[in-house]
Amino acid sequence: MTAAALKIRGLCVQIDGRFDVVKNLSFSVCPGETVCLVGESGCGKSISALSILRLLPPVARSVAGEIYFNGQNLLGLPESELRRIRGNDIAMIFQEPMSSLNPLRTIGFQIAEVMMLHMGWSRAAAWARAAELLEIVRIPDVPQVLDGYPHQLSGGMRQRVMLAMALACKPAVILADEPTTALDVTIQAQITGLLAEMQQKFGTAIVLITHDMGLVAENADRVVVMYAGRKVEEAPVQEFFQHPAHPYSRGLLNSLPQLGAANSCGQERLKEIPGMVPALGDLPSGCPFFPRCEHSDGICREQFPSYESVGIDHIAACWHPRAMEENQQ
Amino acid sequence: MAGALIVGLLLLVALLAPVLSPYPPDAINYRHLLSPPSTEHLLGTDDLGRDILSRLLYGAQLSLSAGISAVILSVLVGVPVGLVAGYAGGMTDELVMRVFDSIIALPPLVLALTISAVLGPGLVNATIAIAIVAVPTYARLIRGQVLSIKNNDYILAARSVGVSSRAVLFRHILPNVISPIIVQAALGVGFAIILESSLSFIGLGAQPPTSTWGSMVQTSFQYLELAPWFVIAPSVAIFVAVLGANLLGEGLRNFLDPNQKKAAQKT
Repeated sequence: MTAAALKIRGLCVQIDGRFDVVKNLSFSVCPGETVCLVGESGCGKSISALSILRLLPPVARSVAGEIYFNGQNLLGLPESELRRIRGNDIAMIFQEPMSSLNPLRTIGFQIAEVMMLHMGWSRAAAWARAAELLEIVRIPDVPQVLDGYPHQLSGGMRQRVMLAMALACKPAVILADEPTTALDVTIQAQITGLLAEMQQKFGTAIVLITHDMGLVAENADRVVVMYAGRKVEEAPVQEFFQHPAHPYSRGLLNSLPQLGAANSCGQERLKEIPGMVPALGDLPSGCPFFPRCEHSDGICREQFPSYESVGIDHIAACWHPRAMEENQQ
Repeated sequence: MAGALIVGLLLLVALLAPVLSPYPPDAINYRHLLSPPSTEHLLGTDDLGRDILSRLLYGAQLSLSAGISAVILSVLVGVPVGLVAGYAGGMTDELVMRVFDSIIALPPLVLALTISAVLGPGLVNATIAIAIVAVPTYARLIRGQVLSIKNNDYILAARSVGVSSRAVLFRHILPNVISPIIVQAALGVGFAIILESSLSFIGLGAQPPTSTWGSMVQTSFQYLELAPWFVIAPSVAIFVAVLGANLLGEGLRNFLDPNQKKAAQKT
């Protein structure tokens, strides 16, 4: 296994100094690999990504853990050095392309700014490169777009611009926070296709945050499942879809609609996970999932399970991963 | 845009004062003390026989430049301070805003009077005093704007590519918050002209023999019964200048704020 491009160990993030939004999160991404972070809204996916670049909102703070990039702990770096990494070595793509571009700045300026910052290029050189980048992300009519403003572009176009910005300095890692959620399906496929293409070309490591299992199946090499701020399972993508070990992962996969599964139109209800994600303020002690889990017993209430290996490169935090599988059969 | 027209005309007149004035503003003529308007002196003469029209034109230079430079001064101070306070938040914000709150708590004229009395009479000091009084308005206005846009995704996105805080503030936030400041500055010029006139009226502004409109009103007050035309000329000038600045401000607001523009078209 090659050295990880980005390695997160024991990351804990708190809000208001009281609520754990991310607890003891560890995972790593290798060059050329795509790791998908999946889970329900509010399970700490985006917060984890923001804490990698230390862009957390003021109420949130990472209180423990290490994030290694290039042998340096990002959480210990001074702001000025971190700024050199942002956009240059680690780039981020956001969920909302409609609001992620400055409405009063031209597209060209916003892409060129990244390169003027990190490469020290002149304005002309940066603009020329910005034009190339827009070609790469297949934007038609490049010169016009360069001088245009965000409101003149559609959502899909803007996300391409964001992608161009992210690729500007050929970063080693791209953090993509639900990059296609706001886009329709065909544009989704184009954007993820572009991402994959860039990954092959430059060997970029990608952390893809999503709750779209289809996206996971198509793009991920490995999957990290989060629930209530904790990693509950990590597995290679094939293994994850074939033998999900954690009851929560199983629930997620079971709740997907399956083509042709229902006997006729809508006769069979979609399976759901009973209950709700616990509020941050009153996480149950022990395994956070136990109130919604059909296999829970005494020990689940008391102690968070340790991460046990349940297969090759496959770990899960569950007291009864096997019981589940037996149940299934 | 009537406002732009009035302000533009006033500026032009002030600039061309040396050309337009029929007499030098300081030319004393003892044979025509307090003479009423005539073909010789269109607006009459003052207590020393000086031509009121000429003094009015030269006074425009001082009154307008004092008003405008006071606004420029307070924008230059207020905008960066408000930007930083709004963006940094926390203690910095609290501290700056409480100081400004205490300035706003005092009546502007009283405060301007106190400051210029402390600094000593004179047009420059009066201008500084007016600027100090106006700083909190701009700082608060821009702080509010910054608060409302700093949590936008594009600010986070700019930071995520490594743009420094200063560059985020001036390159990404400032262009998005500047239009209300432009409007406020135009309105502020009118306010500054009134304040300056008030200070000059009390005697804390321009010192004789130079005179602004405010000090002309003050002088004319002593001869109100003898020469009523004397008081009318500078008062009307002040009125027109302030009206022009306010109209300009409102016009700019309609022009710069798309919501207002729609509302204006509906009515």
